[in-house]
Amino acid sequence: MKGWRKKHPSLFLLFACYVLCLLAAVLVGLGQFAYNRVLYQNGTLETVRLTAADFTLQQMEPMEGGFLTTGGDPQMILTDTERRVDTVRTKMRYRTEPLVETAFYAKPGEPYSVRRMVYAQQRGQDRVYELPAGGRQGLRIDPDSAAGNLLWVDEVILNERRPFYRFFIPSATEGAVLLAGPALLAGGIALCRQGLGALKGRKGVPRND
Amino acid sequence: MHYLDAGISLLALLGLCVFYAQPGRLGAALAPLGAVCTAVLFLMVGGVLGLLLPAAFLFTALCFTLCLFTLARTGPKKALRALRSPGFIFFVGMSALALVWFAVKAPVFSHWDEFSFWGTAVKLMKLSGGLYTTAETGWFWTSTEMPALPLLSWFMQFMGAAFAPWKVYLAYAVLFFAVASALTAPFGKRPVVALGLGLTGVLLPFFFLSPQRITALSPAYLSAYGDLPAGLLFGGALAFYFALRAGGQNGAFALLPLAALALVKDNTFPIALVAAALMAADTLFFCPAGGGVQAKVRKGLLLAGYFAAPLTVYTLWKQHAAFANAHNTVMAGEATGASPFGAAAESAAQLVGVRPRSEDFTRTLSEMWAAFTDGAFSPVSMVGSGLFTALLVLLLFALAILSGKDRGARLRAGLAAGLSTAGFLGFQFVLLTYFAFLNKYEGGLPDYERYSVSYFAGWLVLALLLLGLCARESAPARRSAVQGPPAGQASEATEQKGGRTGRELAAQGLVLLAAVGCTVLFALRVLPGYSVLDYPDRLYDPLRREEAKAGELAALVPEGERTYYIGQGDDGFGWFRTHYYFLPRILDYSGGGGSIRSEAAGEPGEQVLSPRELREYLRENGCTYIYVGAVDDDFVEEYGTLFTDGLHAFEGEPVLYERTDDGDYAPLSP
Repeated sequence: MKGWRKKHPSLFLLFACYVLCLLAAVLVGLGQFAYNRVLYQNGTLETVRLTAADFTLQQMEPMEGGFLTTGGDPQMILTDTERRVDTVRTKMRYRTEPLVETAFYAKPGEPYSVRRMVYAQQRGQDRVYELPAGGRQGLRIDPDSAAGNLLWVDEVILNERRPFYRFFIPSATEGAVLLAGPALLAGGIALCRQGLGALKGRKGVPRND
Repeated sequence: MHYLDAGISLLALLGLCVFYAQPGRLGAALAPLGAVCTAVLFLMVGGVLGLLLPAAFLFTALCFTLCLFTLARTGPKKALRALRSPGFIFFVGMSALALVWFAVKAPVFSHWDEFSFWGTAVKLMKLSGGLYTTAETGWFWTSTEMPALPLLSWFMQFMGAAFAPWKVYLAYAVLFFAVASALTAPFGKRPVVALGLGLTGVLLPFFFLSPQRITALSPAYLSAYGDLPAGLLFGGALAFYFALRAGGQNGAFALLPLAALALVKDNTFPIALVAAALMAADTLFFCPAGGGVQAKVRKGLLLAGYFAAPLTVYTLWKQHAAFANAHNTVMAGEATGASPFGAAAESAAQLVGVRPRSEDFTRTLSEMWAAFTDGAFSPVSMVGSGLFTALLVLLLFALAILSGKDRGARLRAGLAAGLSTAGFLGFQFVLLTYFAFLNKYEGGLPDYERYSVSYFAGWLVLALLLLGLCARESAPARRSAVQGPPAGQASEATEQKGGRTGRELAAQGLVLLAAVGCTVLFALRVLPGYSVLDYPDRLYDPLRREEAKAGELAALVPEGERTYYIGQGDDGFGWFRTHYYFLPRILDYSGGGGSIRSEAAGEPGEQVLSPRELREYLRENGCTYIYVGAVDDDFVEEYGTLFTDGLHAFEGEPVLYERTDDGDYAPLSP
């Protein structure tokens, strides 16, 4: 290792930065997992099973035991706006598979925004939404994005505990940043070392440093 | 195994890279872009000669042969050692990842011009085995457009059984990664700069195509439009040239990307001339020919070659297109019939005040200025409006000039900056001429920011490249243009011994900062679930369903038969999509979509046809089938007698009707 480090200092620096950032990501995941479990322990997060009656519905009219979407933005807003939500599992049936299903969250008084939105993940027949670690308030589920669809809300489960491994899976954007970030960090460190070397007035600094 | 053809084509390009990477040729980092451009030019010539498919097989065979020849002659170890370049390794890795990713996700076309040209042209080539200029379609416009991107896209799937849109996106991604690799070429000994430029190159599609945080799928890496590829190829060609010069070689190989650039889009052909002018000016003033008449003649030929290459391929293609298609004109409704040169002369005359400005010209000028300065309305990049993006580029130029090691380096950077800025103004003039005279529009200025990206992308790349070159600490090539070490492995002789200067470090830092900035902007602006990395597959479901339905109906139409299209309320997009889905069956132009009315109702794109006139049209044009995509009550009432069932079979889903012996049309079901 020492010999390799001497022979390829740039590569070693890059490798070290990737290991460091990976460790940091694992630590962040562990921290989020621990925080999540503490929230369950102290009752902040609580697993509950709900029905459509626990939501204020917009652009959804009762029909045939379910609901007909009457507009392009049907919404199910959790009436208990103070409840902290970490995960949502919806058990719904649709006449036509919806194009887009999303969940929004917002603090009281804060408007809903695409900055606070997550997509549904398909898990078998169910949809699962994972909100940012620690849970969020003001849950709103958008079960479809088109009018004229019929859907039946069988059950909505809030705060099912996330499996341990889920805390270590980055989103696509996070993954891309994890891929680029360590390389940029290595570049920055290399540059700083070059700068320090120049300040010290050294000549003939190895080019791969 | 639907990805095997793309894999083989990619391997062929890599094989050519092995040949190109060897000393005395392009070098590893430039090899991918060299290979991609060679493919485009080779196939263009083959296609023009009517031998597209044989040319593709020949090219593929040549690539593998050259690879084996190189390995045998040089020795595998030595040959592969020449490939050890961060840019090339990055290109291989990213291209392989892109192949797997697109094969799994299989996105389909969703943007207007993908159906009106970019995607349809490739599908036509796949179905016919020849150029789209000679393929039969329901209309004529596709044959007038330039072939570089369709040829590259077709190359990635020419051996496969069926056409796949995702392979078009793969071809574009391969081009982008090749450009990113080329950006790292002059900086083999400056890994920080190579990293900064390479990463920036990969993120530039997001930088320009996702300027705002909106709830729509980012077209970065998911669009077949030619505007951004033209811009990145512009930057890639300049990177090619400067890398060759930095390696002590003459710039002759730069004719490859220069020629390919001329074949991307008609309105980006002037960009190829700007690139040629930049290369020529740099060669003229900063690359002495050395002693002897021969050297001076070679230099003169090279200077001429910079302009001759793009002009020759452009002219060759235009001649072919004119010959292949007698209806070589722009789509009716958009054309003014004006000659581009006449329009340019008139535009110049009105601009400088020699002739009084027309109302259209004044309006266009005013709207262009508004579009250029209004970042909220028409952002060009993640930094905002065209104005802010231009200021960013000019700032980078200024920093590059200030970072120059000596007066010569500063002059060189200044010349490139000045010429490219003049080119930018010239390109804006081209757009002004286009909007004011060649593509008259109603309502707001259409797509100004999209067209502008073609120049901005390459301009920004040039600015970063100049900054990076100033960070190399090497003097400009003030020696005779002799063969030197491969580009990307700058010779020790051109490097000054000694420590890093403050300027050089600052320049490196700025390049790295650009990459950091792009990464941060990417993380902040590109919404989760709205990019190529993680979009939900269901976003494409409506289009897949539509294509499946249209394909089902198209299969009922015998080959050689013509189908008329009815889509009440359609603005033309529905016609383009259905035309694409129907291929190889011919969908009649049918007025290009648009509602059919017996009396003018003032709807955009409407066609005024009485029921009798419609019958006559159908008979005269041999439309034995009618595709009914959408109808309204007025249409059913006025034209229902044309159909044996009075259009009762239509219940919201498209229906196909077949002409009966009586001349009416009866519904068909799959």
